[in-house]
Amino acid sequence: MIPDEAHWVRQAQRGDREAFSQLVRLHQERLRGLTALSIANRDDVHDVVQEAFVDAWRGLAGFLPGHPFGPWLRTICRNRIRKFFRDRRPERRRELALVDDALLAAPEPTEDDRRLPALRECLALLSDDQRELVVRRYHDGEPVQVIATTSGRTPNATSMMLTRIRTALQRCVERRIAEVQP
Amino acid sequence: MTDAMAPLIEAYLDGSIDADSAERLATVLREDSAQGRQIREQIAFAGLIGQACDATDADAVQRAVSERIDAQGSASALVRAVQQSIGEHVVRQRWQRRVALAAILALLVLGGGILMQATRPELGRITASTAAASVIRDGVDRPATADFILQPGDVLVAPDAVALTYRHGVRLQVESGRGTVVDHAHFTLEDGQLTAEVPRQPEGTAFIITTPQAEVRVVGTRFSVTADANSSRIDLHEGEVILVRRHDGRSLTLHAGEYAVADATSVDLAARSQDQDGWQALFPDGLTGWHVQHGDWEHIDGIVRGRGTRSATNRRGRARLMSEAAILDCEVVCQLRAVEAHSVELQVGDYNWFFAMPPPAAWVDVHLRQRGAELTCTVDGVPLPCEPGDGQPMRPGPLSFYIGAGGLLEIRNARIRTP
Repeated sequence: MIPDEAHWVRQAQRGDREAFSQLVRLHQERLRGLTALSIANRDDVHDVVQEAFVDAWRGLAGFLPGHPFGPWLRTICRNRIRKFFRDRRPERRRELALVDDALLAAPEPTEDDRRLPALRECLALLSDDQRELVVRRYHDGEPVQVIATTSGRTPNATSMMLTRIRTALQRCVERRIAEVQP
Repeated sequence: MTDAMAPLIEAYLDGSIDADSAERLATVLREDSAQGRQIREQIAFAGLIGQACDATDADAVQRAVSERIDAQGSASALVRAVQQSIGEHVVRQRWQRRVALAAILALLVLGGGILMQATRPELGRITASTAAASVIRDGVDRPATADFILQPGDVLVAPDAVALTYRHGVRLQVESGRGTVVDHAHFTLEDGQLTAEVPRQPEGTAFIITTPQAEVRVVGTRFSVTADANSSRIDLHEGEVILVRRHDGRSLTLHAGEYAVADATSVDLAARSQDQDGWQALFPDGLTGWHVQHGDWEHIDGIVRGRGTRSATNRRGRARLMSEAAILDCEVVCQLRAVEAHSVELQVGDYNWFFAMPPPAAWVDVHLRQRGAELTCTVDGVPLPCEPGDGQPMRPGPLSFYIGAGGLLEIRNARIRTP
């Protein structure tokens, strides 16, 4: 555990909200990355991550001092992810719930907190058109049909473009991570 | 990944996927294939891209979390609850230090000793310490700081609490005293007090705690040992250990919630119930006092087992065991394990509120606490979200263990205390 983090945890366990706020700032990006591996919609990601932090605040008394805080926090977040899928299931179309269940049962992709910073760098290397496409799709959540219509392409062609951009970004991220490894 | 899958992934992310496509996508995901893993990775990467494009900074997240905590109207109550919980923890520690020191624990002397290796491998490390603690290595006194990597032969001097973590998840908290790190599975407490948490060890191995009079061999449990030059006492909090008294070879099995007190001259060696602070066994008479609503339940060798069996009246194959007594304001600790389960729940107040947990394939420690409107549940220290059954205000009702869809649930070391 980071030396300051242990102090913040102890203070937070005594009810110090500012100390807990420091822990939120320290761990929020990693929790967002973890949650995003299972939940694509960014508003849902924020929702789940914030609820996970609230759970952590409530459960601080159960955290054993001296143990790593991050893994404990990430386990709480995984519980919240599962609850997210459970809660929305009744309203989910059967087809979507079918894929949700298969996703949850599949092995979770490896969590690597180097990926988000590397991905930001790789996004900056995209062309303006590619970046706009990616932002509209994965940040703004625009449906493929809408993007296709406004860009004069078919939905299939748009899907293929997005797949190729994602693949290129994945390779870029892997290269970036490999470059900084000792 | 085939090109044909790309539109399916986007359609799923859009929420517009049709039934046939969903079936195809789900089938591939369920396969343990390279394509299935690629698709899973693609969906995960799409989520990461969304976050990478998101300019929300740490301060904004922190503000949002604070607003949620405040909005739930329980910030000050949470502070009081946390402070109260910390206070209770301190009271339990003080109780342990007042425990009578008049016991000799059983010894199983390991034959053969330990071979010192030419290269001294890391076998664990200090995870929390105080300024006064030190480690003597090769005759040299070194500060026992957090992240200090331990080696065989290290002597720990701990005027105050020092926490150690060994391989295979063994955690020791030396409350005070002096001890030696023998090897990766052996710690000697020369004097003082320690608390140990020993998860299930690899097949055929055990973690050993040695005192001047005793040696405890554990394969998975949590206990406290207090020792001095004349006697030792062991309090077993979780799991089961077999103790053998060294001077006459007499043996004793200790279960969770019991302690053994003996010394070098005493004839009597008996397990006694801790029953401190009001804890009582949750299943003192097997399943007497419990109602089987669904499934097949049995109590054998201290373990309660429930299995859901599908039938005309139980089409979902559930199993639910409900207390006959209505409980309010209680604290329950137990260990749970599940096999082939879809869901495991702990329910209070006759499904008033419940906690759902991922079915634990290995034993997990569960701690449920309910005081008035405040209800919490942790699994291995990690809090679970509290979910509404009928969502009504807390009321007295049965405590229930539930498992769904034909699975098997096992419960052990279950205790309860009420005000």
